Amino acid sequence: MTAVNPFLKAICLFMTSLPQTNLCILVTGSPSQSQAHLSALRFIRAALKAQQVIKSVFFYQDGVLVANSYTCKPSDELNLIEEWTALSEAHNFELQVCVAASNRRGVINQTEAQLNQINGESLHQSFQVLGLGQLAAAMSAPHSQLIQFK
Amino acid sequence: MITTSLIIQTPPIGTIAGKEGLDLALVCAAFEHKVNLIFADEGIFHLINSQKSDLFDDKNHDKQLKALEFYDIDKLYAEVESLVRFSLTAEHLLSDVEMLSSSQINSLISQSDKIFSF
Repeated sequence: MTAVNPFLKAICLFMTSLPQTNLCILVTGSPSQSQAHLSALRFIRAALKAQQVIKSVFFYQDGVLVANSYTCKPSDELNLIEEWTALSEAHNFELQVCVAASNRRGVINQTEAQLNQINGESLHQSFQVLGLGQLAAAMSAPHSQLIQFK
Repeated sequence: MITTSLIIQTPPIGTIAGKEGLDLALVCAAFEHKVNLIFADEGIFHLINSQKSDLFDDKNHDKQLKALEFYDIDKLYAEVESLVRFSLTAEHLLSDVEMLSSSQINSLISQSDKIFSF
């Protein structure tokens, strides 16, 4: 049996004390060079437990690297794509990557690949490519709260 | 109107974090947020008025800084403590940069609805 993580418990208590908000989660940290994705996943799980609604998660800067489907990690390490995919499907929120940030880092969808005459797309199917305007619009929605993980 | 503060703490060279921060500032301004663009720590080097792009072999994005006014981001803030740390004064900086102490920046941020850091 796993013990309840005290940090998770603290976050849960904090979240239940908040009024119902739309949480805008922004992940800008690299999946391999930062704790950002692990912290964001942990925060989202706690927020959901506290009845908060996650509308979407937006990836920017090196955060978009998580959407690279060509990532092959040793099997005994945590697979972040699987974690994000499972959580987003279970709770019905979109995983959005910034088009400019992902293109410059080689994370491209089919359309972009064809446009640049590159063979094959590298974007994982669980992620949607969108502009920064999507993030700005989500933030403009009433009762939205922005939380950045870097 | 939403007030969004972006704090840029990374230098203009060696990382594109600052450039991506500026991109987001422009988009937020296009969505009619009131944008506070705050430079602190090594981020203040974005504001140096004597940058020469031919010395670092890439595009100089001070043009991007100059575009800010067209998006109604007419005020750039620099943290005084950071300037002191790097022995910089107003004469090294672009014009129309306002210098604020860290406590003034603190209150600017606490009055903002959304805060990003790059």
